[in-house]
Amino acid sequence: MALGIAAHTRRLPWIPESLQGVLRPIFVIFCFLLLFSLMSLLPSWHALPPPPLHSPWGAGIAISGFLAPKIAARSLAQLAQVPSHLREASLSCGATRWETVRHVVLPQAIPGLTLVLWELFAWVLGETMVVLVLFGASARPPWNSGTLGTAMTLGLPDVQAGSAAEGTLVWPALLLLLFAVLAQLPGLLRERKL
Amino acid sequence: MIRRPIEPLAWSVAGLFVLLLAASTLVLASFLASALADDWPGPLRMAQLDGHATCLEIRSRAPEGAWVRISGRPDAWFLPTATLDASHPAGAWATLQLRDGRWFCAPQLSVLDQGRPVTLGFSELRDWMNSMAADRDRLRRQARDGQESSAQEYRRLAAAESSLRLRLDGTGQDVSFSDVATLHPPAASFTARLGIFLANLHGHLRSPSGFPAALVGTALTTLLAALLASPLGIAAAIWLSEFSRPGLFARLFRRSVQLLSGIPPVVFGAFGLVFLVRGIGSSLGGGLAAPSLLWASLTLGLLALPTVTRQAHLSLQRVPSHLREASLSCGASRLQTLLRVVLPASARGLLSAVLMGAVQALAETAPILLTGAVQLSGRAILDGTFPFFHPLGGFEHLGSHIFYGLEQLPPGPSGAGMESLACLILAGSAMGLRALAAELRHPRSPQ
Repeated sequence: MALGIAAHTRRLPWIPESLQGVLRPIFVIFCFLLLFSLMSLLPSWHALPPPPLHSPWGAGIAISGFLAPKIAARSLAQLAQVPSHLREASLSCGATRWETVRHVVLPQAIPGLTLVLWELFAWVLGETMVVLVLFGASARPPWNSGTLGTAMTLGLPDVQAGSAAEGTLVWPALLLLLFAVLAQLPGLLRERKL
Repeated sequence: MIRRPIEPLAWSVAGLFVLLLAASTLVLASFLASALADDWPGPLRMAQLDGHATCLEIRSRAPEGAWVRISGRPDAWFLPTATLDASHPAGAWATLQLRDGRWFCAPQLSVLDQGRPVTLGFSELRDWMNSMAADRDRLRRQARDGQESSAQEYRRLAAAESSLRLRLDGTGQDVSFSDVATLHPPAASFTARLGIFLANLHGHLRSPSGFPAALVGTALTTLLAALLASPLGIAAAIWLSEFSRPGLFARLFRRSVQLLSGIPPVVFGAFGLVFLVRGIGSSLGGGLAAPSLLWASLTLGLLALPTVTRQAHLSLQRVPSHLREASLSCGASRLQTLLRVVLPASARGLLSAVLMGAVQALAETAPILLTGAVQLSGRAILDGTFPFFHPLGGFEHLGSHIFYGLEQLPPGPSGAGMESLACLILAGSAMGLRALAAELRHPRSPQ
């Protein structure tokens, strides 16, 4: 979100756009290499507790890292919705660009930025591949160490069609669908109001 | 004192951004180095494995042992220190590759001519093999041109060659002379290692499954997904922009497209597997009942559909309304206005929408893992046998290649070479396509 505000202040809207989709695969492998370099730094890694990245905290950091450009782009879009005459009025009163953003644009954009945070929850819940790469598919039985998406990706191909296990694993998909719709509804309602 | 305005947040985030870019560049460089280093031949050793003397290449060492692999093969396994101690260093040994892909190494090579060993130096042996190959090729050419004496001579040479065997002194093994594909000098010098490196790379690229198959699989799924999503997405955008009347249905349609674009990709994957493959595919039967490239492309096409629709709708809305009004006032129908005015004016934007859809199909891995991507398919999707394109059955993809490769990577500093290369290709293609889409959407104005 800070990246979005910075891009808005410096009028660099290309930053979030260029970061989106580019960093994601790089970020995944970057986290993986970091994990291995941490492991090789430890004297006998298999006898010690797992290093920090190989944990829910590590996965959380990785997810937040590559979701940042997406949030930046959405924040930028919300900031751009603030009427330009407010900005111009502030600048013509002698305020700097940063003061304008801090005292005029941000207070106006807070409802929109709250919606971006709300959408963020659905994105985090639906993230699959980063968690899967960091935890590895070999950790099949403890599905609680992954997310709803990893449980589906690892479990669904192996279960029999029409079995009870398939039904159990389809539930996370419906749950994620519901979360995604719920996360976007306030935004759509606000758009209609505007 | 004049209070200078400061922009702390903006500057700190810009600094962070520069750091992030620098880190990404470093990671990219390390990917490339890792990809090259992974195939660079390591020191050779001979060890007794399962009662056979095997030529091993040491990849990385640890206190408990070392990660080794048979030279020329991509998979590595861990060898404990005790076994490694009993092995012999083979750094200055010659290496040879058979036509079936197996590798051998030996300190000294002897030719067994009717049971009698004739020991030859490496360069002598190579010269002799080269001259024999040249003779064989010359005689074959002459025999093809109809010279009967050359045909007889060729048959005699081939028979003599098939009875020759090459003994690998010090290992107790011998191989048929005609099975030898390439002979490499002792891997001590840089040029010798370069020769083995290039031969390994050539082997990777020639294999029917593996990295090249993953490249073909990725290209085909992305292309098919874009081909499936484009007509539907652009048609939906045209209806929304040009023909829909403002009302509940159009609003609901627009909101649904917005909602669909926010749904996690793994949900599309689950839909593809449960509804498309196990529902529709099973009822159709045959090869369609199993996950395949066809179903994966269809799932990715559905995933890219909202993006294509949204982007195409935006590009159609960017066409100035006065152009439409001018056309209509000249007596053109709405269809004529669409075909002659709106579509030509928004062609670049529509192409950009298709590219954005392709980027989305290219970057997602979770849906394809559910709908047909496998680690090794062992078959080619495109080949010379009719119908040349085989979309049914498991396929390989760069995303799944990265996932399975990283999962089985031995812990240690030996890099994920091919996975890094796959990552680099994916990131580069996504970046290139996205940049092209942005350029098409917002063309630079001529100075």
